[in-house]
Amino acid sequence: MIMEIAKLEKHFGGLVAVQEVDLALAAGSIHAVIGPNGAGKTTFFNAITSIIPCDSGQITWKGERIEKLSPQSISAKGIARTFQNIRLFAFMSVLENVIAGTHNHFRSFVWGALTRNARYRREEKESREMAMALLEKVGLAEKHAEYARNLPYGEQRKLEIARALASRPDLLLLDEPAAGMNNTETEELEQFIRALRAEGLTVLIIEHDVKLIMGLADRITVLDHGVKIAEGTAAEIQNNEKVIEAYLGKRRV
Amino acid sequence: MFLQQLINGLAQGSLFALIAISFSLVWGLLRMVNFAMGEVYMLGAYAGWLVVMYATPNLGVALVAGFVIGWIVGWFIEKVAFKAMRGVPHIASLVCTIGFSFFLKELASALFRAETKSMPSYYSDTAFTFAEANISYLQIIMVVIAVVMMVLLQILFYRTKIGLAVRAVALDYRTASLMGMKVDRVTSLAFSLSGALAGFVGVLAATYYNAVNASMGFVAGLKGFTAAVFGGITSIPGAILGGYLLGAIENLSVKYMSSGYRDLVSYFILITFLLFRPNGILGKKAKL
Amino acid sequence: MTLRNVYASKEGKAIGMGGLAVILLVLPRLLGGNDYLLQVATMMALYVVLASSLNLIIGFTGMYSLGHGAFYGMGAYTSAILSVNLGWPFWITMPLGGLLTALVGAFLGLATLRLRQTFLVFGTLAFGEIVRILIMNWSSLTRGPMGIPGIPPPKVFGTELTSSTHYYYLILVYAILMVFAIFRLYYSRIGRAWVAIREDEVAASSMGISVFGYKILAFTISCLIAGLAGAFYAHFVTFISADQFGMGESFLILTMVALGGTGSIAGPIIGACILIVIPEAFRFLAEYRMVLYGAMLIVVIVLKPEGLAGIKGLFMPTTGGRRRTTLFRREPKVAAVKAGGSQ
Repeated sequence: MIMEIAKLEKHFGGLVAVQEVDLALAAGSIHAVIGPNGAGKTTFFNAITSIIPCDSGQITWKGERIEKLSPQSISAKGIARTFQNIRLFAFMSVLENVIAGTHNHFRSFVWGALTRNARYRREEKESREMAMALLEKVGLAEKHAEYARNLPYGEQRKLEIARALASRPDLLLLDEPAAGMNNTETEELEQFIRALRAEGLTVLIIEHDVKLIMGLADRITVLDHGVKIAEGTAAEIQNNEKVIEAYLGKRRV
Repeated sequence: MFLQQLINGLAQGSLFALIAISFSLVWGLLRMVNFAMGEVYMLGAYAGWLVVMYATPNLGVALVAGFVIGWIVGWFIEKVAFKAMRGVPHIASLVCTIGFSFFLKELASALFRAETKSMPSYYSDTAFTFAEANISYLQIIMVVIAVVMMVLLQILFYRTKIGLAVRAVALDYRTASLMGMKVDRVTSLAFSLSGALAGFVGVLAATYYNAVNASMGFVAGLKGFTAAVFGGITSIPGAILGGYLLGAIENLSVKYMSSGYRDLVSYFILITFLLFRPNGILGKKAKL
Repeated sequence: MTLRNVYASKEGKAIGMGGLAVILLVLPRLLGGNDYLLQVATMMALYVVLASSLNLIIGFTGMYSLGHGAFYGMGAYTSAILSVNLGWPFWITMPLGGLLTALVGAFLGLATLRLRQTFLVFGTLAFGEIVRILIMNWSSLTRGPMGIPGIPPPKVFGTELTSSTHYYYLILVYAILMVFAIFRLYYSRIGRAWVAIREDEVAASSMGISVFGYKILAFTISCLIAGLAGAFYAHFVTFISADQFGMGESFLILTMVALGGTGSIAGPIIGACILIVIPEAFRFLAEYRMVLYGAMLIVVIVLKPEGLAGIKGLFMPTTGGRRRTTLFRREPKVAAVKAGGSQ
């Protein structure tokens, strides 16, 4: 298990957004979190990445407790994410967005920037090449000079994934990556995520598109009203009474 | 001596409190600050001075003149810095009102020259003496006006239809407009009213200090904002409380430090509260 | 090839820069020994630096400061006091002035952890006023309202710089170095981190950028540069007093940035040049010159919120006649977008 989450909890005032959720992530797997609207999926992600600190519970990453760390330290540990409501750096170019993602891998600072010494130049070159390679991979290489805000919606999602990958993570959190994508794009995305897994990346994904999830995920966790109601493979989830209930409402007897 | 300082502090506090209310009015509605509030106050003071010097020595008329000028300038600022810039981030609006602040101040000092005009005093006789502390009629009037203003505004907000509309807009701009409310009119009204109040206070202050000059607005505006933050910018009673506390603290502090450092106290209070208790003493927990 | 393309091309840029350099170098000759005009040019160079340094905070990192005049004054006073009271040479007092200012700036930067937007504007404004009041009243150190006269001119290779031409070159070199440094920082890993924070703090921190650290860094560097500018100014005019560094100064620098354009290298430079030339060019307006300043700021902000040479659309992308907010998408967006949407 690369990450183990135990009894994670988050309240907003009296509202319980995430309640005692446990989750174990196998290295190199694709793990999906699904659930109806307002089930607490995004809050769960925000708690893992420390964007909203959790109230209680433990998160263990490669044997190390990380629930108290800041978002940037979590990123440094090798966990990267995308956002449900795309959060690109709108007034940076596509390429710069991805380069910004490589931030943690380089060290040159004020002196390097002022003198442009050998290390600075090497690092700039390296980060640029890395970013271009990633853009190639998601198919945005030609648009590298455009402002991120000028990209169409689907490409912004791709760019966000590229930016997250630029930090060379071991775990990638995707928050509804297929939202707003058409069928072709969704299929491309599915292939892309599989390819990432093949490279050894662990992926934790929130998604509404159940079809996509069922074909893709190794394991699925279902949240409802902040509580984990089921976990298992796609087949197990599809036949789970509680899950059907949560999605379709109580069956009349 | 202590009592006299306290009384002076409370009188001055009335001025701070009234300016603080002006800030609260706009903040409560739009979560915005009109940086030029102090300059509206200064223009009100000039209006009052002009009336007293050239028209009629009646202070009531002067106060009305300050109110009207403040209303007009407040209305105009809203049109330019907020309405015309709707959709632009608030901070750009703030910078625009900073521009207004500078513009109005320089305009006044160009029109009226830099030197301080002296305003005749009204009701400055001692009303009664209490333990060797003199209280003038004007000081009493100022406190009464501040309290009456607060009560009137509370009634306006919580007992009338206009108040209901204002609160609705403050809660949710879009829904209010979808419900058919004239949100533009409501915001315009709030701005004009806050400007009018500032202009009105300007005349009061000019009478109290017997002085009008172009740079009087900057410090008054900053102190008023401090009072608002101090008491709680989200509520009108908070603004009043902040005003009186600030007035008292400032005047009493003169005992312990040279008068040159007097303003320091206010600015320290402002920074401290902004940093550690941005909702002020009374303010409810609100997102900033 | 259109004119714009010429400017954009590498050769065009080189020619433009070269031309500018030549003009700047021979300016004292061009002005034909007119001391007054040369002093205006020197002040322009100084304000170019001040505006560019404030742009680090406002344009790059997306924070606000109305205390820049105070930082400028702090550098001036530090350097002046050290050289007048202790007789230390300019080349030691000047960096010390900058360092002290940077230290205070870093301290003020801590406030950015808790203050945003409007409240940061007022916080820095109050801070600036506190500095001014301290300078005004701490008479044993600053001579209070009397100011500090007789600040010795800097020496270069044993000769004192006394003529306007000397000062012009000295401050020109300083200005070019600083603008160059800001340019390099902006187009580096640090500049990217700053802009990322301006664009989206949450996303920036999830990308591993230490939001707080980089904000403090922006404040520190900006204040270092402003403090150095103050030191140069003090030894240039040889007399300083508290009223030269008040709110009006902070306002002027902010206006330069807002007018010229936030978030670009050229913006504050253009803004500074315009706002220094205008009062000189419009002398016939007498006291209405300053009124013109304010009016200009209002008009530019309303019509072109990103400034004359700022990033196009930075504040106000227009789509189908409807204004939408993309910058500062944190809290203002709700009201802004809703307001736009409801029209």
